[in-house]
Amino acid sequence: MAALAIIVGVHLVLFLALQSPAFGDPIARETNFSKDRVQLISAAQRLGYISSSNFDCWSFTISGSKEQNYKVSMQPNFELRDQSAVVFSVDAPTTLGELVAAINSNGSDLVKVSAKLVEDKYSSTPCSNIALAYLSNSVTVKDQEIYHAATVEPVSTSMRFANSFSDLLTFDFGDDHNSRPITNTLWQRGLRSLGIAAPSFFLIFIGAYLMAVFAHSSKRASRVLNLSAIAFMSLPALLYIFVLRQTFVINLEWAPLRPYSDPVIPLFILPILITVFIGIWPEYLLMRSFIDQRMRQQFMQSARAQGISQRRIWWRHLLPNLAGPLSQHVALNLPFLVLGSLLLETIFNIPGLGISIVDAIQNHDSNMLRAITFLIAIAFLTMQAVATMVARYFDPRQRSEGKL
Amino acid sequence: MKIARLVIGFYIAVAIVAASGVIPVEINNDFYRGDSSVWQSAAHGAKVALIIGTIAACTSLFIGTVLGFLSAWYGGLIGAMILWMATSIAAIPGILLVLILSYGMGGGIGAVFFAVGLVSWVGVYRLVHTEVLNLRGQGHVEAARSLGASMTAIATRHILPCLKPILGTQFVLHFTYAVKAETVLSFLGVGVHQQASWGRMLADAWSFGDLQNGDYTRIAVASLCLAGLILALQSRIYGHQK
Repeated sequence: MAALAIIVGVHLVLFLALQSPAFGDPIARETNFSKDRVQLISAAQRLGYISSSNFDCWSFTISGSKEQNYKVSMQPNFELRDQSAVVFSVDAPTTLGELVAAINSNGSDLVKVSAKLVEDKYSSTPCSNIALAYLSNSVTVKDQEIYHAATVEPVSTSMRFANSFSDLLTFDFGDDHNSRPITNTLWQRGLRSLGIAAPSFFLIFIGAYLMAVFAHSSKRASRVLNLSAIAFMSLPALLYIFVLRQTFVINLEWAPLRPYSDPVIPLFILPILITVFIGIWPEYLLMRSFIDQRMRQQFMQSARAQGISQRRIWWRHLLPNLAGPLSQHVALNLPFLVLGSLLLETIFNIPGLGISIVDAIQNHDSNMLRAITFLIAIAFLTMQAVATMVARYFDPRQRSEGKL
Repeated sequence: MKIARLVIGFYIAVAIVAASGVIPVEINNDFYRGDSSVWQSAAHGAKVALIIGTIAACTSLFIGTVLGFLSAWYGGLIGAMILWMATSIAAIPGILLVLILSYGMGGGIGAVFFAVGLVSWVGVYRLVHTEVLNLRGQGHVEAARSLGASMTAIATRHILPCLKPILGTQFVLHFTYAVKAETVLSFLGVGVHQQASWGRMLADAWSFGDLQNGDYTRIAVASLCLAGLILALQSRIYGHQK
């Protein structure tokens, strides 16, 4: 129940950010502020603002001064406006049939508009349904130019919210800006990103534990590692990626420089090592604080007093005791690490989830952004449940909770 | 501590000089060639970093403190609603949500600090919530309540002063997060567009192939400026903690 509430919350955040006018007109953003009617309608349909569109209901032609630009609007009147004023206007009719009749009976010396229904059956179509199609559209008077006007079925905000939520719950993310199914793209690209994220995380985890253990055994090592962690963490991740790529790929040629293709493992090695280098320092500091807390506890002092070797203490006494909190930390951070490859994938040109996000932003593809974010949130919630189970397995105190 | 204070003062002075228009900077591809332009961009970068860091940190501190206080003070349905909002936002990776909001708002300096502020309040909320729960049972708050002090008076006069150390530390952490987020957003094209910033300098260094040309100046200057500011701010936190 709590997980469902969070999923609804995540959807609400995404809906407000990408599908509602809370942060700007989503249709204009999706079309990169295009004025093209077809693009606007297609974007509106992709974002769920309209359920269907029809370009073959009615058409109109304009005669007047040649090459003159007019802006057409349908809110609520059908109006043609030149740069300074309204030059043609029809008072808000209720049906398309009335609109066509009213257009044909109006006109002036300056501009004359003739409208025509493609089929009589469209005469009862509500006029409110053509408002969106003409928002901010401009037409130019040319010889015999026929403008095929569209009608659309608008969808209310609450229905849009419900529709997009049900789509997300059934993992039906729709199509991307290239009209390819998003689910297929995510599946392929997600595996590639996981190919970098999973080994990186494993190496970061083991490396940070070994570094923390080493730092605990020597004061000088601890000082050097702490200072290194603070210094390395203060520099931007982009610097490491730029410099290490330049050094190992371009200057030393130790790593291949080629487009993504088989064999892929050599292409992954350097990005994995860079991820480890960037990610190991905060993990080391966290591990260090965990170890410092545990080392002061009685069971560790008693193990030392019994003369148990240091190595045995590290692996048999300390590590299982850290397993609970660490598993939670690991589980909760694993889905987020997929995003750590955002910059790496862009710079190394690896077509994973990170590069999909960048592509989606550059191509104004809200559906793709929504799908990736939703999947990562689901992964986060799943890992949270797994982490709780793992922590209960390792920590008897958590198992007994609720039994007393 | 003293060095940190001096470094922060230096950054503020440079930012004020850059904002006053003494240092000219314009964005075009040829302008960055040459060391002088790099230093000018870095000065304007300091201005942008201080604006973004300060406003983003203040926004997240304000939202987090208000919501943390309300949820701890009233609890019940209000507390549950705020917790639901916080958990929902926390389930989305911070940088991804910042990226989405910044894209939604069309990029630019305002979008960056607004997006970071809107996303990063959750940590502040959790800390303030826990702290207010502890404080509301303490003697001085109980005394103020029994004397009939209003909720606003209790919050501003009796609880907020006790939260100062936590909020100070959180300000620095959110400031550094915002400045680092700016570099990522600018590199991905939804950050600062029309002004010189450290993130923009790194992005331009990549797009103009500085490294291939053996020119490390722009990358080094932008990175060191960023690192200097972050180190100075962090050492202020450690100084206070000691």
